[in-house]
Amino acid sequence: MDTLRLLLAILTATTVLGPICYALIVYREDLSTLFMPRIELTLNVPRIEYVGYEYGYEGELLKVTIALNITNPYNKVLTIRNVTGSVYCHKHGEFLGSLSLLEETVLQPNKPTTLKLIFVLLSDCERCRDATSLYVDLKNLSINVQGITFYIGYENIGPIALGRS
Amino acid sequence: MRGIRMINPLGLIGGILAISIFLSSTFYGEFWWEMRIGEDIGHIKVSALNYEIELLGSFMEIKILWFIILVFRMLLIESAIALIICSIAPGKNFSDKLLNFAYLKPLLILLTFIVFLLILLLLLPLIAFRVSLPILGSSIIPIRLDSARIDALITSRFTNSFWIMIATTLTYLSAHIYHNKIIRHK
Repeated sequence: MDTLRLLLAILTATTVLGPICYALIVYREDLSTLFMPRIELTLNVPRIEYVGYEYGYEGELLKVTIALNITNPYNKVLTIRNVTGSVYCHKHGEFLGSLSLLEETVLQPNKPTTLKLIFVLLSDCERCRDATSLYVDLKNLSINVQGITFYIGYENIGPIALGRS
Repeated sequence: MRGIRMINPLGLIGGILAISIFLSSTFYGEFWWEMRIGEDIGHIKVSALNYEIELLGSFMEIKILWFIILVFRMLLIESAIALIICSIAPGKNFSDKLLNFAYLKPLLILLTFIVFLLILLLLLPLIAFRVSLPILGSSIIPIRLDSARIDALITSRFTNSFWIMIATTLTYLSAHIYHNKIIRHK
């Protein structure tokens, strides 16, 4: 019965070494293909472009909705759950108000989608009072996409006329 | 007990469990451990018998893993067949050798998987990104990407299949003890 023991030992050795040796022989020309992870994915921060704005008064307060075009660069539907941030005057750096997401936005793969952000103008930029339009910076922007939070900033968004023209 | 053919019930159970783990992993995509990134942003699902790594709709392929997985699949199925044969006929001369061939294999598969998991979660991320990923539970992992900072919610857990694999390993070891202590002395 030592033959059986020998056969079982050969079986174990063949089982363990066979596939590994086969892999090494097949990929001997380029072993990196065998060991390196392969994924067709480039991690990019989604591209964002300013589209326009809307505004309206809520009592005394001026409410501004900024529309941004956001392009989902991935092959997966993504949902923006929440956005928070601060709005500053681009020219003078004055704080203008806090930003939030108007509604949850679903981003289709590789397509641009309009993202609407809303802020209430809490304070005015003194030095922009006479200007016909305003450019803003979105700072400390926190974008929550399905449990992943991006902290980012976007500058020089505008022009926003704010009804002064 | 005369008239009743002696069998090793633990060996039979262990063999059947091993075959069920093999089938569920190979054909039904059952994994032993999984890590979810955000809410369905991506996932890593692994076992010694298969794996799936997906991020933002793209799947990662590591060719050498398929060959290693093939080794584990064959070892598990060979051990299951050997254990079932020696459990049905424990009194035969070949049963000792078949049992010795089979009983440690699930333990080796399990230990290799745990070592691989520790390397995957603790060592590699620590070297590459200076972060360690949770083996169990949730944590928020900070990542730098271009000009952005990203906080990723990571949730990890062992699945029921992992605990079944542990039960299978223990059953194999118990079958070995049962064979040596009880069947041999009858």
